[in-house]
Amino acid sequence: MNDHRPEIGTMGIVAELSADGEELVIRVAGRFDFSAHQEFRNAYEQAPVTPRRYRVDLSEASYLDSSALGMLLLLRDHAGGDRANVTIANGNRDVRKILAVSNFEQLFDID
Amino acid sequence: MRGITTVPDLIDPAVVAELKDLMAGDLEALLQAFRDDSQARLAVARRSWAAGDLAELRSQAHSLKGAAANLGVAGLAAACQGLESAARHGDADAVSSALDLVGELLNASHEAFQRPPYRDA
Amino acid sequence: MNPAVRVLVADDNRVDRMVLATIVRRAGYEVVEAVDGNDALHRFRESRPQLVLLDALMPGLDGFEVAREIKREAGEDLIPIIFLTSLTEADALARAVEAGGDDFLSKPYNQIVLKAKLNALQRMRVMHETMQRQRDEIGRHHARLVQEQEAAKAVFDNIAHTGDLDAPFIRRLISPLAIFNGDVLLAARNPANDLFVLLGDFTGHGLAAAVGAMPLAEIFYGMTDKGFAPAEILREANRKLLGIMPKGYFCCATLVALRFNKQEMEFWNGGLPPGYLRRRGGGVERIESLHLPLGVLADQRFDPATRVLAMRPGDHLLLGTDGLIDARDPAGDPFGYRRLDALVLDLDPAASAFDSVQRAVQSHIGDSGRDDDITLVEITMVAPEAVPERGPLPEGERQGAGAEWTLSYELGPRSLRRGTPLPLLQHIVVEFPELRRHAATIYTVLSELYSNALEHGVLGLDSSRKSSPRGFADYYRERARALEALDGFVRFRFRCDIDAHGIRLDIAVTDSGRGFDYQSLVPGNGTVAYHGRGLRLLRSLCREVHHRGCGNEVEVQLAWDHDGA
Repeated sequence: MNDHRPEIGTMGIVAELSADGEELVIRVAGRFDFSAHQEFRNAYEQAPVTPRRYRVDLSEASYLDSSALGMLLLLRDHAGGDRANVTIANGNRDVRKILAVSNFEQLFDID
Repeated sequence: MRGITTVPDLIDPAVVAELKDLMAGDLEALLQAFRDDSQARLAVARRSWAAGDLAELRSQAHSLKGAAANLGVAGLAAACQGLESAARHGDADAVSSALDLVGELLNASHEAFQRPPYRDA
Repeated sequence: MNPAVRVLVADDNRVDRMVLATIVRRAGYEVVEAVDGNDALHRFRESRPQLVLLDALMPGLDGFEVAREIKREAGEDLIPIIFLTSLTEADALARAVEAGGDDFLSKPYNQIVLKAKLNALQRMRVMHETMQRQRDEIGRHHARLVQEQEAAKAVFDNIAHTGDLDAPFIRRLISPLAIFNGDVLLAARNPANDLFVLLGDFTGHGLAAAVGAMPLAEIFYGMTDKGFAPAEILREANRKLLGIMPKGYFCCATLVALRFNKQEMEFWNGGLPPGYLRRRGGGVERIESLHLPLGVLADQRFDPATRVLAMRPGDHLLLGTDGLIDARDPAGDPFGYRRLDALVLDLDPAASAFDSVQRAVQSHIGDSGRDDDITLVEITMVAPEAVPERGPLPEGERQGAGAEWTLSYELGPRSLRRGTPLPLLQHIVVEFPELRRHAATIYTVLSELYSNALEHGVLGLDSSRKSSPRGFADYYRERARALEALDGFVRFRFRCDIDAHGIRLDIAVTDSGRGFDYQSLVPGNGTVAYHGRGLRLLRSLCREVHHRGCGNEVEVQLAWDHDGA
């Protein structure tokens, strides 16, 4: 679970820093659940610079559970808590529903 | 003497070289142990043969064969192998002559231990 | 090479043994020599070597027998055995393998070959030992975890056992896996006999979840018992969980207060799937999650605002946790919100939602081999008369020394906004053992008096608006707005007289409101509307109820004889 290459058919997380170093995009593929914990954390903790914004791209995520919500809260905390600028983008219908039920739009920009 | 009993055939110099390297100062003690052991085993083998105990005969031949091989006395090991095999087949003539051969080669081995490659020239 | 590694060299041939021992010693191992099979076993038991070199043919016990015995005695430890043999026959090799031999070495012995074999077997042995140690470590760890979970569950059960989950109007299903996965279901009645139910779903598994569940249960049971309002319980639970849970852990929860006396339900949902309120004659309303879960927001941002819905006997409330939504079929497809929604919304009003949902989820899971992780609870509204009494309250001394006291307590705007004063007042009142057995009645009366004084008096809300479900909702929205802006007071005056014959408790409540035309509110005028309940309830519980002044003062008299009348 320590390398950053996505595996086909399971969970994979890739972090990518924008050219200007302002935004870190974290792409999550497959099931976003507890097994992604370490990898997700590495994605933002090991970024070479501290970006101004974070964008969690869930276009390839099939599913998200409550521990994934916890991981998003940890990212928000890492990014400055109430001052954090974290966008959760491109979730599918099920993923959006889960974010809505948890009322995460109160904490994150949902795109 | 038959065929295989010449001195160069008796000794495998490669094994002896390795043995000398391995045992270093303990080589003499090892050779002495072989002298005592092998004489005893040959005596037991002969008694077993006289008593018709082929299993014991084979066991002594087998043991002697292993020691001979380890000391690089390849010819003696081969003779022991011959004795072991003759005993297994219960061939009386073959056992008799093999016993004689082992005895001769044992003496030859003891003499060879006094010379190169066992001793430095 | 590790000098502590011992190698048993067993050969009846002295010469071979000397050669072998020298090779092994020079390879860096410690050597134990044995001169025959029996000696080999003896030395093995005595010095427990880690590796064994065995001559196959030895007098007495032969190498095969020795190998079998060593392997047997080693049990699950790996003691590699190398057979020393000049055997070339296949059947002898087969016997050696069968006896547990791991490798062979033939004469004349070659140092390099033997050293390589010893080192390879030693690596194998170390690896085996490491695996064993890790396996044992995992085993111990697991055992400890199970033990801790059992301990946590025992503590949790001790806290939760006072609950009211066995009440006849609650049906519930909590699979064992759901408990392990952090589901919590709590139920208790407050002093007014309202039923409070809290369904929670902690993130994280096992111990982390169980640990969070304990303070949650303590807060829930403690505060419900003392008569705190749902919003106050939620605020306290949120504050506590935020303080103790690691970042990223939280608790999705729904809190419901069923007020049988008032035939209404107050609820709050933060992060759980929607609950469903199913009307007896048909019609379904969703209890949507409008809030973040407990333990996420700091106190000042936390929103404990509840909503209130009118209910009638026979109306059901169905609640469940994520386990329902996440339940997957053999192909991995989750049951999902849409299936749940469609199922409940289209259900025949006469059918049981509890049974239908349970059946549908089970059949969705099918025989996928997954354990179910389902928590489902259904609560039915019943008429006040059908609610059993709360469990016995601590019985005070039947006859105290008597008492005579008065108390005046006035709440200004900040206190009124802050929340209900009832737990405090209740606490004072039940300090007197004679009053303790009437705690439920006193609490109900206090709570009626207070909500009338606050809502209709200070806030000036018109209770007749509660007659329609629509107005009912508007009413509570308006109440929340008015509370923010309020200016005024509510004053309680208590006069208590306890003597040898009985108890008399007078409670007068004055508010800063405009009052109302109490002359027109006569008992038994036939209008059974929601707004009528408050006063009817008071009249049924109190010996006397009087309105005074412009209607902003009410005085009630409670009285009991000591023999219980």
